[in-house]
Amino acid sequence: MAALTKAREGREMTEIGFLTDLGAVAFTDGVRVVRDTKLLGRCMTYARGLDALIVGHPQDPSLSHGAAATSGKFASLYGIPAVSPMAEVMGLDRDLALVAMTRGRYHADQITVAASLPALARARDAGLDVTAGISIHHLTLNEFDVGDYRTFFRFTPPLRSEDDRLSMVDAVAQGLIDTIASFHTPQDEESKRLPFEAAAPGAVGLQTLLPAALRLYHQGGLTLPQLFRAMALNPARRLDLSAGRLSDGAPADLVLFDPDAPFVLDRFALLSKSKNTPFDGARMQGRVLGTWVAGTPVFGDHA
Amino acid sequence: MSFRARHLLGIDHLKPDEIVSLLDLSEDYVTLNRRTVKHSDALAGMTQINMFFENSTRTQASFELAGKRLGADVMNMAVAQSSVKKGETLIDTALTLNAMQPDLLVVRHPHSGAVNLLAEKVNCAVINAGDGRHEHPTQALLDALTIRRAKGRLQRLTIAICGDIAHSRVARSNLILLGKMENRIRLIGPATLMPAGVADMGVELFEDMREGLKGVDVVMMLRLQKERMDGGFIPSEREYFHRFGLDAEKLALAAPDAIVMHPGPMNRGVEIDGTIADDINRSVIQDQVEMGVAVRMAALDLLARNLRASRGRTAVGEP
Ligand SMILES: NC(=O)OP(=O)(O)O
Repeated sequence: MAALTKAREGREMTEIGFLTDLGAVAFTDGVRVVRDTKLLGRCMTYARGLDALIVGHPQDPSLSHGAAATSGKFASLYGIPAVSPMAEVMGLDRDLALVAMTRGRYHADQITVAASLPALARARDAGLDVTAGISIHHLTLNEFDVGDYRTFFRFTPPLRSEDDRLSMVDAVAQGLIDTIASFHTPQDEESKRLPFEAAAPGAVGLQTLLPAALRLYHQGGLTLPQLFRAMALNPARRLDLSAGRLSDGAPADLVLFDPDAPFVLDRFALLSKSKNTPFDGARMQGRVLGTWVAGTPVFGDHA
Repeated sequence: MSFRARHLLGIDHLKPDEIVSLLDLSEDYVTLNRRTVKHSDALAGMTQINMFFENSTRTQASFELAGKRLGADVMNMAVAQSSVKKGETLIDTALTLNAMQPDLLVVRHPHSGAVNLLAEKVNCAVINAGDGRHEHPTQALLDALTIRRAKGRLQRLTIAICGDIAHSRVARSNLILLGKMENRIRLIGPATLMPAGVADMGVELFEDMREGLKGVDVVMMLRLQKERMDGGFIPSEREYFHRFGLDAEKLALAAPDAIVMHPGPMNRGVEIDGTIADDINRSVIQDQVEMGVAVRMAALDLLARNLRASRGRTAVGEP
């Protein structure tokens, strides 16, 4: 993925054509919302001519500025600056209106509250080229997990209510939310050893993506085929990659795993240099036994 | 004494009997403080450091006085507001101070949870003197003592907390304490200054101050926290005073013997009419300041006892 605007400053679009020629599969400013609606509309219009996908972060930036939690009783009691879930709905409404105006290709990076779902469903029904994703953390954790200001549970957007989490699991099952991603965000120890609202958001997620997702399978929220679609098939399709399926001519990118193998996660045993996982000490199930890239074993006993 | 905690970080984790024993001991210190010779040796030989990352007048002064009256060596660390921007300062400063072997650390910080974080890193007892919008436990305790002395009880009272609830740690700690003691709590203020989710906290909400003040036993005013506001919460101070400022006319709706409280510092003419604040028949604002010293002496004393007890269990060869 490449930046959507130069230096992600939201002022000028990047060279979407050149970047596409060089292999960029999507364009995004990440969690920096493009505030200038006219500019975002032009990006969509321009990108449409190149069939380029734009990934947006649906969030009203003036509402979410400075927020570290979702507004509600928990955030109020702990005195954490908070944002209403409606900030996501507003951001999504704006982006979807622009998609209707420009007919661009659009993916919402994280849809995390139930209140966003009707707008998403309407856009689909209207035939707009819109998909949506969610992070594994918003599917498996909720706002109360922050507990006593645990900074490894600070995310952008912040963790949501349990009702919203359950709605999101259901939306993945229904196919309204297309993709589940790790939103792997390494942070050094110092950035997390701060008061909650001053700490850096995000968690490492690559190595815990599978066992965390299998929690949803073991709890009965999602089936293995539903997880496969959200984690492999749909992302590959959306990015026009030939991976994510078993078929003639497709690359043999494979993973062999035992969905039941139990273990207790020790964050210091993670291979990532950063150890900022919310699952430290968590009991998990699911172990990768082997990984192949284009048919070559790269991990496990076969490597 | 039933107060067993190692730190005093908030009211939330205190049980009602712990609150009562803190207040009972505070009464002894009120008596002591009214004598000419105000010394006790409860903290003799101990070191107390006051670390204020945010401005304070009464809290810092009363903690200093409390420590000195109990015989501790008290040091005030002036931590410049500007050097706090990077949080490393907080933990680094804490570790540096910890190496100087203090026994009691009193901390105020602009971020919610910062004092909890610091308490994890040090060996001494930590008192939260206010963290962001989270808690200010000694303020709630001194308010409780003031109410108990003025009303003769701390239960079954109707208490109105008025004004900028959203930005106030004083409101949070008081809500929790007065709720634990089974009082009826009303929150009065414009909806922009109410935190989300308060409706689920077992309180009554009023946007009409006259309605909310009807028959209350205690009127607790809060300071409009202009420094914590990042946008327009109210149209003007003039309109705020008109709708939510405590004046004689609005106060007349409360119970005839209702008391008026304010944690300070006051914005006269914004949330409270100066003549009400100065009315010795209604206002207990100066009593609150007096109780503040006594409550802080009690808190320091009890934490010091617990500290000695825990060191007695673990340290060998201590005199
Ligand atoms: N009530 C109170 O906390 O006052 P200071 O800010 O002056 O300490």
